[in-house]
Amino acid sequence: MYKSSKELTRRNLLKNAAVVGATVTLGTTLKPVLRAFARTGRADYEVQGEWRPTTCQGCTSWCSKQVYVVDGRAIKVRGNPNSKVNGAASCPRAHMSLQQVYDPDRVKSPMRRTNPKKGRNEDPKFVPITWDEALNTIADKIMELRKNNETHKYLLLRGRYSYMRDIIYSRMTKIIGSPNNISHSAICAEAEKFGPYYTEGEWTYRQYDILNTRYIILWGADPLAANRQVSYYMSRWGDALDRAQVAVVDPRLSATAAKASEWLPVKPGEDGALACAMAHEILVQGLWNRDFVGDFIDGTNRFAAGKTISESDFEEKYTYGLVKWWNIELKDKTPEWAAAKTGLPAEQIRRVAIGYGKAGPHAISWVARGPVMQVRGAYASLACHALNGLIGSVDNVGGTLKANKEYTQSFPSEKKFLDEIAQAGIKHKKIDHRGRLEFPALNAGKSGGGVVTNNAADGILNEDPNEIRVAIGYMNNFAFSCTQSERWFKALSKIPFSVHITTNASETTWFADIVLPSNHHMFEKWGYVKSFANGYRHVTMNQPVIKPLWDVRTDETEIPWLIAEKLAERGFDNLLRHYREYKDPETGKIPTNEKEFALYALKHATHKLWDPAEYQGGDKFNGWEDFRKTGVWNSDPYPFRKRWGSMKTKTKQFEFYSETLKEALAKHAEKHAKSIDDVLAACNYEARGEKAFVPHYEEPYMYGNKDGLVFVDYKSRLNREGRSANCLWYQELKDHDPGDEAWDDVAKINPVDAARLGVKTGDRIRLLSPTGELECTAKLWEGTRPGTIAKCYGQGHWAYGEIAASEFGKVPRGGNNNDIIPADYERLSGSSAFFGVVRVKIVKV
Amino acid sequence: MESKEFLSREEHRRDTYKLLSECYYSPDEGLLNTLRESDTSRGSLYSEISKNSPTTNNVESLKIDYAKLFLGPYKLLAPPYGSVYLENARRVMGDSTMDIWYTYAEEGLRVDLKEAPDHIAIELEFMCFLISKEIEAALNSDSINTTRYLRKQKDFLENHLAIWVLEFTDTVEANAETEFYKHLARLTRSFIKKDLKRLSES
Repeated sequence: MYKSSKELTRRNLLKNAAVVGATVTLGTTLKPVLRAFARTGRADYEVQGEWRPTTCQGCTSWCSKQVYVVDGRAIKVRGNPNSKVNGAASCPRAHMSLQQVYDPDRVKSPMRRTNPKKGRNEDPKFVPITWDEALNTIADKIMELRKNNETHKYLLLRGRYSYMRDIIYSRMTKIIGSPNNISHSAICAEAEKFGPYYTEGEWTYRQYDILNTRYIILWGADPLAANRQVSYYMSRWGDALDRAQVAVVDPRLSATAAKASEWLPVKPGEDGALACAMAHEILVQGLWNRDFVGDFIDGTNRFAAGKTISESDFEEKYTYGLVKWWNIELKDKTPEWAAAKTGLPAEQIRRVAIGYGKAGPHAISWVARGPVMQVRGAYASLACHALNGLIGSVDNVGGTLKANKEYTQSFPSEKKFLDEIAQAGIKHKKIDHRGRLEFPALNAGKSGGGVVTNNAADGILNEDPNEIRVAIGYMNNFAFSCTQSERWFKALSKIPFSVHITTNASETTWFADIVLPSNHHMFEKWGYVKSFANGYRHVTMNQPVIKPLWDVRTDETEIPWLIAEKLAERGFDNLLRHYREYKDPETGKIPTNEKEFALYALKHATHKLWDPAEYQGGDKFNGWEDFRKTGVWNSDPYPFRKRWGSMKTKTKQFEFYSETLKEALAKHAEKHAKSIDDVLAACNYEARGEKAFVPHYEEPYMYGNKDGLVFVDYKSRLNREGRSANCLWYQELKDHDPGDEAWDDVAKINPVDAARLGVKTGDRIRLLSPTGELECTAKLWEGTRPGTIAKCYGQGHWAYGEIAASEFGKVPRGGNNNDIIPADYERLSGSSAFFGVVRVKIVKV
Repeated sequence: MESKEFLSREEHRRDTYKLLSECYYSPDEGLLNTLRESDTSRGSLYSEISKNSPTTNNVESLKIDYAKLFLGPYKLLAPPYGSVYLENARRVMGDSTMDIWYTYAEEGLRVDLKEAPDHIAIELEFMCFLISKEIEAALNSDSINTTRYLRKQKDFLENHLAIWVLEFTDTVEANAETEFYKHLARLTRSFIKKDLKRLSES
């Protein structure tokens, strides 16, 4: 907020009386004194700038960066050469951050809604208010819930985050007394973690040893454009291509496919068939890795199409259940069988399988969101990842690796600060229905262990299990990024009081009662994130490299502290007392304000990285200042093959027949007094019996008319997680995404289909699905598989700013893909289905 | 010692820039008081602004209009930043902004608000500052500095404020919903136009 004129007159009389001299008498009450300026008495500016370390969170690569700052202004960005993960490399996103931080449309002051009506067509009519007024209002609303023993009606929605997240997401929510901290994870890529977890016991993403590999199969992954470690892969992909064959499985010609040796334009949803056929072929050809998988006791390969094998004939080493997998699923899954399913030639399937098998163990089966964030995607996740098990590339040189060890620590426990109200509150069921029969969300084996992000909208709308009265969201835009997004318009409209903490106001902000301006994560915030690639893990810090231009605060630290102060003023000081435990590890000082709190919390979390007395491993620093100036800590190099025989599965082996999944499903079934088959049926899977425990083929489940084109959604190399559409460069350079056009949103149709439909390039078209529609421009493009229509995610904002929308508040620029994708789920992981889930009809506008 | 008439005219210019500057901050009770108590005898601009000045009961609609035009969030209907008009990149803190920053720094000033240095209110106030310095010099019969500060005013208008204020005020006038801001835009435009002409002729 600006200072009021009243304050100003008073203040400036003292401050700057000398400016005009006492001899001038003014005839007005307005003194010609300075409001905007302070007198420095000298012309002080820098001649030379400085590179300052921070972190880019434009995507989840989480690269360590340096920003060149001159006279307080950020000028340019480069990779932080101190990082062993990304080095000096940068992808286009990092540079676009400069347009984000200096976007005139940013939220600059706390705002209050003045239009009591909420809805897509209701202008919120925000007016500026002070931080004090905003925080007082929020604290009053929370206290009202506490007074009425309704703390479970409080909701925290989290989008992107740094690892300072638990302060607002977990600690604050629990101490207030609510079970409802809902993260975005299930619209991210939880199904991608499903395969690795139920084969090798790691619920996480992987890193890939591309410099030592000889073959890479990419399943919907496009590492030259999107997630993860884009900077690193962009800088080293050429070296990888010198040694390795690359085969890209994707219904559209991605940036990486354009540079690959093989493009397999698979029919959407049929990836599982392809992976099973490849596994079949690898076994029939005898190309499995003996060191990892073992062999037939007599050394004779008995894998032959259609033949069942005796389990006793094969002796496994570091794997479990290979013969079971063969007998239950693989024996009939020939390349010819898969050719009919996938629309790919059998010879290509065979060629890629053999090439990959021969390159093993230095070969990678790289699973991304595409094949797995589908209604029946969990088993494709298993099948694609199991290919790594077959050739022994798991944890191996030139293969697929987990994250290296790091030594950050969690924040102090909140337990003793949960009073009776909070204890009762957190026992309520969560708003997203995780753990119900139809939502196992088996994160790391636990029924309801994961989130079902998108279903929270239905929970709110149906007041099931209860109504939500107060909600705070940060760094999220669920009204745009969740499928069938209009459900969120209604859900957010229904919540009587909601707060949005954000850098740019978005579609989600449109429904808020209070808007709080957040620091930009890359330039204005203290925080840290962890990331891995190139055989290393780094911990890199978000740092305030510039003084914020506007009156913003940090979402994850400063704002919860300020709320805690207001709650304490109202007699509830548990949260503030908890936060006061985050002492400065250097001085032992207790934080006294939000700024100290933000800094001490970070120093606490990273203590073991920078304090030589606490040293555990990896890079060594002299102390906090040394670490801060460097900006990043690197782990020790990757210890290859250390996990062989000690994986975190039930059998300790790499499981082709997942005893771990069997146990998880059994526990979930038991909780509901049902059978595993009942669970599978409730989750819309076809498998019954033993098939449920092995990677197997499932027929894709799709909405829409059979004669429609299958909708293919994918990510832009310019998307800063859907937050960059208001950047000029995003629009000007949009044609850097293969097939796309600058300043437009094009749906790409194969010329064969276009001729049939009578559509030509440049036509305005409408895409209709059973749950919504959008308008965009048609583009004929041979990089789209016939029978599909490909459109990049990211355009279609109607409330983001001047550039993002065609006509702000009314007409979006193009359409949001999520408007036509039905809200359905890969239920075993809780993931939203974004791919291979809907067929659309095309009409000319 | 300069003539009384000269001083009075310069004080009037100075106060006008100050008043215009105040009007481009977020409207509140303070602004309303200022407008209410402004001495309308000091010229047409004062009385013109006062004529359309809002009352306490419509301060909320003024705030809504202010936010949509100048503050956000979302699309600013009339971005109050010079760089948006001068650099064709729709961003703040451009090179033109830094040029202003250095201009302020040379006068021993730095912006003490959470705002970009080329915000309309700050540029207007900087003019007020330069005129104050001119008057101070004039009162001390320091003709070199009087002329110097007059020159600086002209340079500042020609290099910054006057280049973009026309497009800016047109945009405000076209997009404002309240008469107050429409009128303010017209007055700002005509005053700066006239002032630049006067400085150029003197």
